[in-house]
Amino acid sequence: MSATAHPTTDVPPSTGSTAVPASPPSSSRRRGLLGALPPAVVLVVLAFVPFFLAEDPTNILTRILVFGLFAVSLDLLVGITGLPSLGHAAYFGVGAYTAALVADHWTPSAPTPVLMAAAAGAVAAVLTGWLAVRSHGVFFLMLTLAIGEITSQLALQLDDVTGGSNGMSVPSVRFGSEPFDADFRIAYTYWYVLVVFVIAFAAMWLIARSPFGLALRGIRDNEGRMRSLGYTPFRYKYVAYVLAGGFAGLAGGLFAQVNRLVSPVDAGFALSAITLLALVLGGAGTLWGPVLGMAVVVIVRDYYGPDLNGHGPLVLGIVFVIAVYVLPRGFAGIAGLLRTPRRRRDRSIVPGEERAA
Amino acid sequence: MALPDLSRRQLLGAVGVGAGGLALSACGGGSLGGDDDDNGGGGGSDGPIRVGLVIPQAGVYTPLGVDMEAGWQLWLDQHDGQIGGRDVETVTADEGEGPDTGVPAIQQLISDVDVVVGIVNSATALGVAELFAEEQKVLLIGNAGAVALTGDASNEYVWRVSFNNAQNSYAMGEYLAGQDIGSVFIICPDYAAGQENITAFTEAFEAGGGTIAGTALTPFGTTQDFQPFLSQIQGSGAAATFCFYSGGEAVTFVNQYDDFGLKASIPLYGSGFLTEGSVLEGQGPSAVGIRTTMQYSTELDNEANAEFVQAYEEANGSLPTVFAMSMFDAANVLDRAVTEAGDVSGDALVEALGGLGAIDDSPRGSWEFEDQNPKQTIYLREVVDEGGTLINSVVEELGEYGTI
Repeated sequence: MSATAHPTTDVPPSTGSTAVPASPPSSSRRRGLLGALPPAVVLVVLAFVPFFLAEDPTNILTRILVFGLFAVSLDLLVGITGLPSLGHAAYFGVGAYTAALVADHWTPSAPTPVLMAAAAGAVAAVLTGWLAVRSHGVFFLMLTLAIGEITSQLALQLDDVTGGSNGMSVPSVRFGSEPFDADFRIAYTYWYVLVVFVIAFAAMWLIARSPFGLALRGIRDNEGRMRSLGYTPFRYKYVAYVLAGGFAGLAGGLFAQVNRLVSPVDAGFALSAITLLALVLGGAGTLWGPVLGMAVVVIVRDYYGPDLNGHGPLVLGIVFVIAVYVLPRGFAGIAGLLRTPRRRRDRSIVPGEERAA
Repeated sequence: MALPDLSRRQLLGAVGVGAGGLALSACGGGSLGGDDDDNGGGGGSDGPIRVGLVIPQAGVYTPLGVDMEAGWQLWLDQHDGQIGGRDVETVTADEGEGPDTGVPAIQQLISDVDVVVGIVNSATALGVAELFAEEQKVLLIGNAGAVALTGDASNEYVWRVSFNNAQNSYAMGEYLAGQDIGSVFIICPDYAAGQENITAFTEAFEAGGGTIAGTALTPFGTTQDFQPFLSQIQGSGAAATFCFYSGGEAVTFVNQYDDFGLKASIPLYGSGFLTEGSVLEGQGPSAVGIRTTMQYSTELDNEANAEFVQAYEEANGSLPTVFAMSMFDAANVLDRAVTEAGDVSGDALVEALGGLGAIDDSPRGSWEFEDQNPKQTIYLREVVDEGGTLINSVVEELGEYGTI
């Protein structure tokens, strides 16, 4: 937490993927004030959304925040720590099922189910990460893929607990014992998700900017050098993995309460894959970029998808291909162009990019 | 990848315009409006009825969606596009393969329509059942077979015109027990519908004095090679096999069952989806002689079915399937209910549906609702080769089955 006040780590969002401060100390304070303005505006607009958006778009925005939170947790792993996981949905699924079970058998009253979901996600990551984080490259990909597949298979097989392929129905969000009034349910659910999202995003933001977060970036960029500096990369990566699992579980818990149905696909590879797609679309390593990437994915898949006569997946694929060509660093790349049009710095996480500049 | 200044600006402009357009199109009144939001189509007693047709248009269930849409459309075409004397606007929504796409599609659709028909995936249907109770709108399920939909998880707004997973298997269990066929081996995919079929078959078969030689659950949707299971069947000493497969798995299983040489020695029985629709072509001669139970066959000898099959063939160039027939009936049921109620509000429709009595002009023969699920005749069918075309000929009627 102390790192937030430290001038040398006061990195503006768009260059968040770098471990080195971009601007001299003299301008950094003004920058920090200016930099705080856009998030504040966005937050105010988001808070008032139910007053001017109709129910369907509000519902979609709720889903964007839920899946966006999940994408940020994956970014903590992929963009910040450099661990490209193919099975991150496992922890989302663990959280979703935990929230469903808690809401069903104990209390659907917020925030108990999501807190239990976050705890369950973290515990699952403690158990599996210990093995996964020791591996590198393709082995890490394969191990995380296996973890994801095993989790969704377990959800399918343990049908006495999980309902198998029919999934589990979840009671709607409520505070206390009474459900929300039907007329305002969508708006209240949205605000609830927004509050959890903001708190969790701020927490991940602070983690990413803390000395611990800087060490993670260091490990991502050059693990050998970090080791020679006296760091123990395994310990750092393991903690990052557990944190990411916990936040993924939190997002899963929110999902269960919003979607009100949890099924094995919610822990499956498809979710991990579209979330990686959101990271690529938005710009990995920036934390906020993946939320925008996820917004595109959710809007194409859930808002327009059902009306496209079955061409939803195709459109999503086309968007992806275009994005890779036009926005090689995602939406975060656009913001980078806006901010520093002349002295663009190539700190992309794509290795080939640096040499090309 | 260095973009020149101009294109960079254009790019940003384009992104801005896109985002702005989306924001504008999304704006409309706010979600805190309460009463103003209930602009679900006609609502009143005149003007068009808006019907949400939820079918899979992408993914492995797409062929079912095509048949369902054709069945729905055929009924409308035969009735001047009207239901209950009012014009119909069909709003089609793609439910995709599973509940991850199906649930949000319906959550979005429901506020925009008066009534929803369709849904193939049981998990999707279970996931939205409570939503229909909250919105007080009627859902007419056109396929999804989970027993709980009109059982444990039911509510007064969710009605089903198709079948539940227990009906066909229960009828087959009773029939085989009555035949004194000997012990039977059961093989099903390992997911909720498979298990519901096993439970129903086992219950009926054992109640009739039959013995189960063994049970195998195959991984759902991923089994390419059934050989290990087939040797298990061979070694079990079973006199017959009962199975529940559909789609691609039905083709693979039936072909391998024949190739393995089991077809002659251990006859294959199944729930009707094993040999329904396009899978028959893929199975070819391997399917001939397989007996299945189902609430429908194109070969049923009744006037309504003859007309239905002929009209469907003229419109679509292929024989109808049970999926098309279900949606044809869904339109028929909705027409009767709207006529009776004179209104499309959920509560009026629920009351009308409860008092419909026998649906006596259905291609499947006369049926009626029992606990919001069809009580219908189950037929024993056998695949025969009729001049190069494989059809499910009707062997006999096994009686009426309702909620089991």
